[in-house]
Amino acid sequence: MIEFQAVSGGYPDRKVLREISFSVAKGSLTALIGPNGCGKTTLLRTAARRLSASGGRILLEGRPIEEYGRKEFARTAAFLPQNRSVPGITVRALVSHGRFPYLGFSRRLRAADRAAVRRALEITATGDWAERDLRELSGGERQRVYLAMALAQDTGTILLDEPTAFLDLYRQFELLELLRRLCNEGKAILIVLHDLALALQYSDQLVLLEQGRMAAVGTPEQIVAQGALDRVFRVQTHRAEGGYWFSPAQREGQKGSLEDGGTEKNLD
Amino acid sequence: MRILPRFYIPTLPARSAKGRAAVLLGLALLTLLAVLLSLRFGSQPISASQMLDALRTGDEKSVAYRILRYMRLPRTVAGLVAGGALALAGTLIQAVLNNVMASPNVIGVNAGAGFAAMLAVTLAPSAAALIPAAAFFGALCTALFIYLLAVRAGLSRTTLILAGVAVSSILTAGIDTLTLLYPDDVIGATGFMLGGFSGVTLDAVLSAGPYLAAGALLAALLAVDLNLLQLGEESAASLGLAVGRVRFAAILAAALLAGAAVSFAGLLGFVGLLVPHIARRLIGTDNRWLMPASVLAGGSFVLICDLAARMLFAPFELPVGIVMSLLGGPFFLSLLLRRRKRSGIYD
Repeated sequence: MIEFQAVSGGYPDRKVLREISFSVAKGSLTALIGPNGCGKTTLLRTAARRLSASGGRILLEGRPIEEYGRKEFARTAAFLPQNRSVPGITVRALVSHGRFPYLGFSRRLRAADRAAVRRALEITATGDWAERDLRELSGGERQRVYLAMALAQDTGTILLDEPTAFLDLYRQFELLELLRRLCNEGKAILIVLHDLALALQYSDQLVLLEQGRMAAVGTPEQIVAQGALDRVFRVQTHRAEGGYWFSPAQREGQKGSLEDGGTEKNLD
Repeated sequence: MRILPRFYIPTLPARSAKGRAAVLLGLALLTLLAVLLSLRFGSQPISASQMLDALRTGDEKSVAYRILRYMRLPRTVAGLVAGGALALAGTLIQAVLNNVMASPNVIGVNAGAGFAAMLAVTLAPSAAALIPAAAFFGALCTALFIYLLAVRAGLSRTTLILAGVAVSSILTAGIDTLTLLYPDDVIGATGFMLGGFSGVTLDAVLSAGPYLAAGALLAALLAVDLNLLQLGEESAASLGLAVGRVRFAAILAAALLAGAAVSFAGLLGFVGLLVPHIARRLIGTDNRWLMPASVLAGGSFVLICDLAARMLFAPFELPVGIVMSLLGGPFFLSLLLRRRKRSGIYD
């Protein structure tokens, strides 16, 4: 699990995050949402120690993240950044890289490492491609393979930055179903999602950021009920059977208001 | 439109451990063959029986023995070692900068080593043992400078290469200046600039030995860590890799290798650029296989080029650097022309 306590931070010349507090419990999926540039990725990178916080603290399994050793941290939290290169290596070689924090000085894979790689390939159903070149795979397939690498890290917490980007809809569902299964197995997952409908549908908790501050935190139902999405994203949220959909908010001065729950009659 | 011929190198690297072992074995046999050819042939024809006689008797007075012992043996060792070292240095630099266009020669590491070596020769003409140390120091300074440019200024891949070319030409100008100002101290400067093995001694290779050994050992220790860099800096770091430390160590290794090679072989171009490419095509990007493959391919490539340099216009001899540039230049051009937009260095 990972806990944010009044975290502020950003870049040396630009403070992005202000006083962010929430926690991601074991076995739950939290989605970070917010308009472009609100600090979602910055927050995730801070949690992954790619950036350092200027205030507050982040606890991983109850311990401040800066107290972890480099490899120890990688054995406790996995981070999948959005920008990744696609080297010409096999799927198995990539997934095996997930075992790096467990390797000794000789950097050789032991039996336990091989077993973890096998398990990760199995869970993500990527075993059939194990000997294929990463570059031959489609974007969705690669995404799953990268997730397999993170799983091979065998961490309790997984941080993912927009893993559904560039995937077609079916693959997005597939990926999120897989993440849900991992949660059920006890992982704590923090994920940056661009797609609100998916975030509402699949997460246990939503953290809504607006200009580096927390605009709202809670279950999807709570967030919708507060009307926070409507305000921050300037949309109207509509509940439909089994999910949500959105329409643009009406311009100021027009009839029909933002805080009006969002039903069919508000649509032009 | 294709102006240059394609190079007939298999595009798909070997993937299974067996396939890679086969490639490595093939390269080892090629290297062995190159060594034998390099000892057997030269501008002076020596028959096989003369050679065997010379080896058996060890007669210092026989011409065949002296040619073998003082000409061909040092030359073969020097070519093998310099080729392997520069190819390995190229592999390291391409991995650190994540840039296929980089090599010790292109980014000015060789010129830095050469300049420092020449400076040492002019300042302390009697201290020959200083040359490898000076060359290493020059190589390290240049490599670190280019690396810091890449990190601090956030240069793009192309800009980085251009910056390397600029640095390289500044250092080459420095070498030229020294050559003009102190012509007596730096006799044979032309040979040095072009790179070559005529007149190389075993002692010169031996005094570079510790640097080569240290560089090779360091490279071997870094193989897996450098594999992780292929994933991109962010992913590598999140897997627990000390990215900065690994890059620095790899640059150190490359400088040790390139500096040592330059100290006795001069400014050999293109080995460090061309060979890692060929090796990558043959065996893939896993450094645990790529590094030994580069060493073997580099050694045999230089030996074969050197043999050609000795034989083509015998009894006149071309510096091997010319032969290699004749081969390496077109390859580099075809690389530029055929480069497709892909992320990472692994085309």
